[in-house]
Amino acid sequence: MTRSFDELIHAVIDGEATDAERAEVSRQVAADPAQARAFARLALMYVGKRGSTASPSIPWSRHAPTSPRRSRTGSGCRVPSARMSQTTPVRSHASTRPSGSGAAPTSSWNVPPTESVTKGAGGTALAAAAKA
Amino acid sequence: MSAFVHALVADRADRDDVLQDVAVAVVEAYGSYDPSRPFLPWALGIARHAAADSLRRRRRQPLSLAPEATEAFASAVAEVADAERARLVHLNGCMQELDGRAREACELRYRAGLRPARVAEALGIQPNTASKVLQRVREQLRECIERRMRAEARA
Repeated sequence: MTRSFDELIHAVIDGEATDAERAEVSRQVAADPAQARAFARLALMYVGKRGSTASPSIPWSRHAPTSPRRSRTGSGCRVPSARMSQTTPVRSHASTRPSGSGAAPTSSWNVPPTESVTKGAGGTALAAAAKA
Repeated sequence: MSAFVHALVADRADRDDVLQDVAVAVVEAYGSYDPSRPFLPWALGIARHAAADSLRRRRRQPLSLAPEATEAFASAVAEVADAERARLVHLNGCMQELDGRAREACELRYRAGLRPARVAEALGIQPNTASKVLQRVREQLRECIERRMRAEARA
């Protein structure tokens, strides 16, 4: 099955692309700034959204004062920039963390997702997936 | 920065280690940073070399993109980062607009971080069907974000 470029980008980002697919994406990204921007947009949107399993302890934000940092309150709002140089872990409260996220305290800007997990039809599958 | 590194490191088990190495490299190189220049392009320049070095040192699969493409990707990230930040503001709301299987697939894929094959397994559907659902999710999210951006611009 031939994949669209959008699907190829996702396959590369997911680490699921074949060597040939990686080469094709590389060729297009290197040759066409529009494709490079498309790759960048998807990477920022989807990889950034997913977060990291273990964030670095080095305070990136000290050197990147314009970078965003999401709060851990579940509202998804940004915290004031004055707090961005914080080097100690942000306080975490069980009541403010989603039960299925497995989110760990972190001091990095790249905090794990904090939004509530949907229950209902997908609740069972998601809960099972989160345990895996 | 983490999105940049994660997109380039195929094996997710290596991503955090590489990100850690990149963080160290950026901090160590900070003395050479010229504050009159934009920070992000400089940091991404350090990052792409540090990430490649990290994988080489760990004897892992190289970066997902060839060097020229990695350079183009870094430039593109620096170029679109601000605009994407504005778009990300709308992403949560747009994810809430999804319903049924689309929303569940989205949660599994982008919040729980499952690969498409695992999403299919969790939903009890064929992998091809899961891929199509996820493709449709991405289109819906893109359309929703564009709609909200336009509404915001009008307001």
